[in-house]
Amino acid sequence: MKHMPPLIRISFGAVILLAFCAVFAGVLAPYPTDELDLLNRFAPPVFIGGSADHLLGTDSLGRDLLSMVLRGIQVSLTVAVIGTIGGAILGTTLGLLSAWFEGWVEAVIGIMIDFQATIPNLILALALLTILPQANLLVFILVMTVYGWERYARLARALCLQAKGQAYVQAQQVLGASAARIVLRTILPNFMAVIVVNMSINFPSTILLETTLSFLGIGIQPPDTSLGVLIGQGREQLYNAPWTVLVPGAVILVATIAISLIGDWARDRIEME
Amino acid sequence: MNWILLRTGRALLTLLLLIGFSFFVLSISGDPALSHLSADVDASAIDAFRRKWGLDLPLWQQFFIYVRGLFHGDFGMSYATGRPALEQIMAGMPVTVSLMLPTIFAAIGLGLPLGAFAAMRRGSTADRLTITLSVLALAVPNFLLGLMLMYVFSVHLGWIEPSGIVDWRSYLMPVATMALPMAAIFARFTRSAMLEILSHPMLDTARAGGLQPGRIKRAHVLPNIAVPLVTITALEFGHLFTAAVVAESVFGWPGTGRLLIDSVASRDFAVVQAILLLTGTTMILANLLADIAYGAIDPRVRDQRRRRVKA
Amino acid sequence: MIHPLLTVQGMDIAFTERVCADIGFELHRGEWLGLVGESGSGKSLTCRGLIGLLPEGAQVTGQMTYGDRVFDLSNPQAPARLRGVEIAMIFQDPMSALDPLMTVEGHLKLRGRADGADLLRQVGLPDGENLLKSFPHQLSGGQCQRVALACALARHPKILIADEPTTALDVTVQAGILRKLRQLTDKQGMSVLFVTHDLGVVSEHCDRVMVMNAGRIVERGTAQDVLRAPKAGYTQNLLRAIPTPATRGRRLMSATPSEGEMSAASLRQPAEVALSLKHIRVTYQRPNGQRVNAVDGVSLSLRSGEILGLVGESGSGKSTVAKTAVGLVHADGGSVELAGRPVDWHRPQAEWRRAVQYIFQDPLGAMDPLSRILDQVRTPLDIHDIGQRRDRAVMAGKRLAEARLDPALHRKKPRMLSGGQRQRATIARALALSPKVLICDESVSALDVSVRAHILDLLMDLRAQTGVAILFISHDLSVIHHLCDRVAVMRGGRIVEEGDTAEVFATPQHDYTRALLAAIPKMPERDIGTLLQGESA
Repeated sequence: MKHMPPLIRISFGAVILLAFCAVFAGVLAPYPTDELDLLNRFAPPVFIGGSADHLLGTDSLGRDLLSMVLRGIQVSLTVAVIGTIGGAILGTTLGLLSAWFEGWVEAVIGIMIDFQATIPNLILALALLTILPQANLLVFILVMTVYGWERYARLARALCLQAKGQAYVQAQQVLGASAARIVLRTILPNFMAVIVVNMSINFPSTILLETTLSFLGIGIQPPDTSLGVLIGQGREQLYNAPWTVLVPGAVILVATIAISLIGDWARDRIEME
Repeated sequence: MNWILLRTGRALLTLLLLIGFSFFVLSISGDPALSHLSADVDASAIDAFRRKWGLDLPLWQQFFIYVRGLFHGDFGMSYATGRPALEQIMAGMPVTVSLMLPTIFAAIGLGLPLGAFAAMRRGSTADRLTITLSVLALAVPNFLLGLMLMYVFSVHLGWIEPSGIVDWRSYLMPVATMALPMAAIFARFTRSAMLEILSHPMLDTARAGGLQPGRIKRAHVLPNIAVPLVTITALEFGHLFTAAVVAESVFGWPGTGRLLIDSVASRDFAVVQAILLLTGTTMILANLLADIAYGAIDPRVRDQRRRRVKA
Repeated sequence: MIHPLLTVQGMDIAFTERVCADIGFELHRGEWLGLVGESGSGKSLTCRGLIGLLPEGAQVTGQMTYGDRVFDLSNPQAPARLRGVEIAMIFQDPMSALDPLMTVEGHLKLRGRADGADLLRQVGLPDGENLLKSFPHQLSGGQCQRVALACALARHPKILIADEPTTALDVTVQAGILRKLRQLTDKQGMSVLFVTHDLGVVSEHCDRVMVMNAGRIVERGTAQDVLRAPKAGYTQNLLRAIPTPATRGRRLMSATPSEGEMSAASLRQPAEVALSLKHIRVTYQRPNGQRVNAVDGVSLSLRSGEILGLVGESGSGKSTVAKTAVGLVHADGGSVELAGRPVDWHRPQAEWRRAVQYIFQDPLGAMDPLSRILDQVRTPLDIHDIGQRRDRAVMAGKRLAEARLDPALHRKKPRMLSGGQRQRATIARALALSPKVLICDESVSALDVSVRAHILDLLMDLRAQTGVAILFISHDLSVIHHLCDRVAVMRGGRIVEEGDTAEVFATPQHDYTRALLAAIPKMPERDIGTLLQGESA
């Protein structure tokens, strides 16, 4: 950890800052997110001549952008974190099951993976959102969890199959270890690092999916907000109040780029070992 | 050749599964009679509606009718407009395809050479720049990239009309929006595939044999890199439509992608399942072609398949 | 003296540290110069440095004279002009030396040879016409290496650098290739720089030899002089570590009289049968659906305190037989019995696991990379609930001590250990269960000779102390001869010959055994005096 490149240090700093904002959004926000200030509509951020009342300016209804962005960070990151972890757990479990038990378990999971591969993720998410209630945060998180599961399933399956053929696993068998002990105490710890790195590589794409769906108006629904919702609401004002798009956009960029860089860096380190 | 039949069989099986899923989407979506007729209509009107759409039949018969309909190009009627779903989708197709074609060419044309170049100069500034740029391009959501382009070129500079199809310049922003992240994927993939081949011992044999670097690249590196590139190209077909969905929405193009979003929002199941079927079928076809292409490129795969068919 | 064909002077190779220092030698026309050393000695790097094929980041200094041309080795491009035309090179792994997507003919045409079939015939592939259309994966390892050799010879180089070209091949295949190569080079007056770790090969084929250790050449001379009367201490140790007929049943690395010898004598007394395999049959379904007998009716029995060698070439089924004994492979026919009682590995019982243990070829691969050595040895105690929980660490430490692993290493992870240390640890882990039978599947094959000698000594001592029965699987006849009381020779899934080791080696009955024995590269006879002198040194 000593030889961390400066870019990675900055990225870690950014992620910590964002996490802080997500946790303490309610405390940090200067205004309630639904407080309208119709006299102060389209107030520019302070760095392009706005007043200190609204540090990041206001939107078309005079709502404080800083407060909304904080809430947006909270919602977007929470959804992405739960979705990523959920997808990783779901996928890894299925992948391990299919690798360890041959026969019908393997066949069924294999067909599921095959099937998932034929439908692009966004399209599947859209199809699910057509049949499920849309303005429901739980449903939305479920959709995010389903998204990307097959990547972990493939990865876990491949890693576990590979491990099964390897001497260190066979050695455990010869020593008398049970299947559960081998999978949970020998195989899983050995590729946990790979799974975690893949989570950090997939995390940005989960944020991307959430913000994209919210932007398109079929994700997080107003009155609640997320970074994608904010941009979707701001796009009509791209001419007269560009900050309503650029500020939440910049936050998304910082989050996804920082995590991507960390993920890439971590993967390179693992590959070197 | 036998192998291709087998593989096609598997593709058909997946297709059947896909059809089953989209039928499921259609039938789980609740009773369209209730959601599409106003609340105060009487029971006979509801029955008439159900009979009209075949909703009074047992589920397996509905599925049978559904599949038979698909073979006749009948993907159901849009509940929103009352027109055939397929007709609506086809109306948007030219617009969507006119975005997808230049995108795939731009993405490959940009990403492939960039990745190859970076791999050959591993560790150089050019290499690191390529990696960093591709991380950036992949981290930007398509819609945000589109809006940023719009902000710079339409709002700030006023060069290009922000939305709609006016002239050839209208294509620049949507295609760039779709192609940049995809080019990044191609660049990264090409780079890592190339690095793997560049470290293969066979290149030592070639170098020790005194073959010139250019000769080695043409004879060994390029053919070997084709296999992974075929895979990624087939996979990217799925991304292509996804990107079109976003780009059409951002730039207000009247294509199939925007139709999908509108249909999801208005819960027009028929249109959604039809698009699901079409994209799924395209992906199945793309994967099938990619698998056939492996056999053409790699003799190991060919032999493996020949043996498996015998078994 | 005639002008040498190639002269190397003061060659140093460094990455972050110096790995080769002050390498200098001469190679004469038509001679085979052996370059011998254990893994990590820098012998491969030396070869690569000569033709500018070192990995990136290598710093080279030194000078090379080829004919009347002088090259500065610090510029990798300089000797590159000689590649293929003057100096060619073949590598260890024949399977990855060729392009998987290119036919044999393509490889040869790329090197300007349209007369591929003739060239293939020259390297001992008589069926050249048919092979030309083949792809590398359709060939055997030996055929691949011959094709690689044909590629190397395509442009009539004067020098061939051969970097362990036959190490990955079976001993009979190795013998064929080396004989062919010798004929070719003699006919064309080619010189060979032959890199190997196998002193037998040096003795049979090389005119002169250089011994490398830790990046330096520590001894050089004619092959017979160096092998008969080594001067450098390193070479003496190296030679002492090699089992020969004279060392049979004796410890290799220590001067103390071996307890193993005593036990070998006491072994004549009949002991109970610890493991017996009866009519074991294992079939594999080939990818083409054909069922093949990998093991075809093999019966073996192993008595307590006995070391039984199972020898055969790759694909003979010897490893499969061993795996059926511990349930890693399920037999399709026949039975496995432990101490006279049949076992069914489909429903393994803890008691059987404790009775028979298995040592793998690659000790690093056989250990959980994340877990410390002591914990790994403790694992079987935890699994079988042996002893009090709090005592187990101490018990594991004791086992490691018995395997003579330095206590300072007990808390390290496998990656931090050397190959020999790791193999000691896996042996300790197997011994933690106090098994009656130990199966060693090529367990010393991946080790350097000096490390191998220590492990062989350890096995011999363990047998003497604990009376464990050992099934020792190996492709290396000299090791089998050295260690085993009895030997079984396998070929094509069957045992073709079985008997007392001394008898089988003295008067082999089966043709295949004779062919195997003939293919072992012979070491020159050393008198016992040199050996003892080395020991006291």
